[in-house]
Amino acid sequence: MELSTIILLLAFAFGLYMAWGIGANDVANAMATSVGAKALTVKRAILVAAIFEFLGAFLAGGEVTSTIRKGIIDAGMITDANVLLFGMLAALLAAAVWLTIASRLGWPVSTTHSIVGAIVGFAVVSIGVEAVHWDKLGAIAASWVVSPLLSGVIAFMLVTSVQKLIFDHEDPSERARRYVPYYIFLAASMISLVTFLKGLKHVGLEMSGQEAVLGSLVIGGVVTAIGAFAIRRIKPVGPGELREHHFANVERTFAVLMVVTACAMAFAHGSNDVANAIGPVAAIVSTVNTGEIGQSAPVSVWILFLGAFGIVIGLATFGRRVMATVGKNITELTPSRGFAAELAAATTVVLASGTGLPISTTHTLVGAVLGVGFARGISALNLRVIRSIFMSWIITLPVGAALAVLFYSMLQFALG
Amino acid sequence: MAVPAYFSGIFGKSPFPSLQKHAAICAEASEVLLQLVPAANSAQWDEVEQLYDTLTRLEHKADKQKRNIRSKLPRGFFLPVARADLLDLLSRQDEIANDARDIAGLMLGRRMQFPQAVQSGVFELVEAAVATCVRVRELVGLFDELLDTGFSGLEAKRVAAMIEEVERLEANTDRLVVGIRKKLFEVETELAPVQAIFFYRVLDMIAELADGAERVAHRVQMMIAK
Repeated sequence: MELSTIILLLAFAFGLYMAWGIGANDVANAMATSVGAKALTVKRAILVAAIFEFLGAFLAGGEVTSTIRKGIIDAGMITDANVLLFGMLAALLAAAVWLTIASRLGWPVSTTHSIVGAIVGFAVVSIGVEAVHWDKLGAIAASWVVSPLLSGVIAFMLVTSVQKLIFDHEDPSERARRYVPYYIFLAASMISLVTFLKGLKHVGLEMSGQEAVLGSLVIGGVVTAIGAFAIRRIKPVGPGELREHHFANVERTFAVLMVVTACAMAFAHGSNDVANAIGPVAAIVSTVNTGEIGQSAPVSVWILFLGAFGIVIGLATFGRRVMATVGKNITELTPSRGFAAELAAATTVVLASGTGLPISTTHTLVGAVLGVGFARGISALNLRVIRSIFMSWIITLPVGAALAVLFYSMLQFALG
Repeated sequence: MAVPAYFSGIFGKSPFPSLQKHAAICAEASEVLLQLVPAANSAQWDEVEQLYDTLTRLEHKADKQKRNIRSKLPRGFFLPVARADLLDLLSRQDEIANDARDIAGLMLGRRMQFPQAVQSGVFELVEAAVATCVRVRELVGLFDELLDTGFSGLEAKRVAAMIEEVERLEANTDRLVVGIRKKLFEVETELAPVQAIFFYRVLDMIAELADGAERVAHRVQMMIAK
């Protein structure tokens, strides 16, 4: 068999393995707040995730994929195409293996940190320090710091707004029925707007600014109408009733909103994390097909499809158990606060996806939860665990790099 | 870095339900006095002893709950209220059960039967003190709703009103104590001198019960303030 065919087959295999791993382990973290707040059952969460991860990956994942494909390594520094091919294969396998190991140990490792660490590691060790686009890498590293901060701030503002608008009044359940549709509109239209403005060009659906605004308003309107209908079906509580009954009703109303934000979160996660699996595949495919190392063509649509598909398969096979475990351990998050964390994280991630920046959705979500905690919305947060999640990049980056270098040498030895 | 850091691990177990359970135990302990003092006043010492045992049991239960809560609140927890405030609230709340038991122990040990002239007044005082403790239990019970609303706005105002009510109840017990002391002063020469001293002491302790409850309420006030 020809070498290029072997490489292509390996690329598909490793890419699928990585996508499967993302679906099996990482999606559960994204959906954790919805399942934990009991806005979705595990079954429904899987369904929502399957649909919207796919949509997010396919429709909006192109820009980040492009970054991973060609934004990190300076292709001009590579003379031998095999170096790039083996390197990308090695990076992909390294990230996938690390994901498998860490998941078995119970650590929520960032798939983004893994693949970026692997690519940079292989490039620096096997080619040289000049092979990396350090300015782009700097922007990526900065986004890793900014994204949890931004989502934290947004979540804080959302929770505070809910406290002021709904809970600080005599009839919170009535105010919830009135105001939650606005939040639904906000969620749906914001996600759509960012996606339309930035994300769709790799599927050939570029929109002008005006079309984007109009489209997002339409989608926002439709989703709000459906949401308002679902809210109206919730039996209202009389004004004289106990405070507790009011609050229970408020939570039921917010649970409708949380279904929307769960979809948004799945969409966002798909849009940003699919690149971790298929960015390297895209690099390999275009190098093999065109024979040249510098890549200027856009990411191929069916590669996005492959990644999206892999994620859904991983989710369907393994993801259910992981999601049940994660959701079971979160007992004290209610929809009126959980939605804020999800919406803040989803907005930040979709913004990053549109800008082509690969960020860690787990870190962003933890930042958002911290934002809710600062607004006094969560009864207890374990700062030690949060710190070790935020510090996990210290291991992930070098381990990813080391594994990539190891696999690269093995590939060079076996096939070079 | 072998700390398991699964995402759901960032959520710690809420201390508030356990705190509310502890408050319920302490209020229950104070309520035992409502049966104990009349039994002592009618010299039914067997029943007093039984009630004292019940109180001891409750006080141990409160201690166990207190230790449980403290062990589940490591320093690395980020709470919507200051951790130190919460632990202090717990200590002060526990004092209520301790004080109730001390009162019962003294009355049993010294076979304290209040003079006829003040018996109804003493019972009224005990009722007032227990009412303060029960009110504080309701106050702590509001933490759920405070959490829902972010410790602000309407719920916070409601809690502030309840704190004022606790202060009024406590002032009431102070007033009642003054009245009983006056009556006791009138008949104290008829009593054995050591016994008389201890009557005054128990009155102080019952008033102290209400004071302790008020301190818990003030802690809640400090916790809510941002």
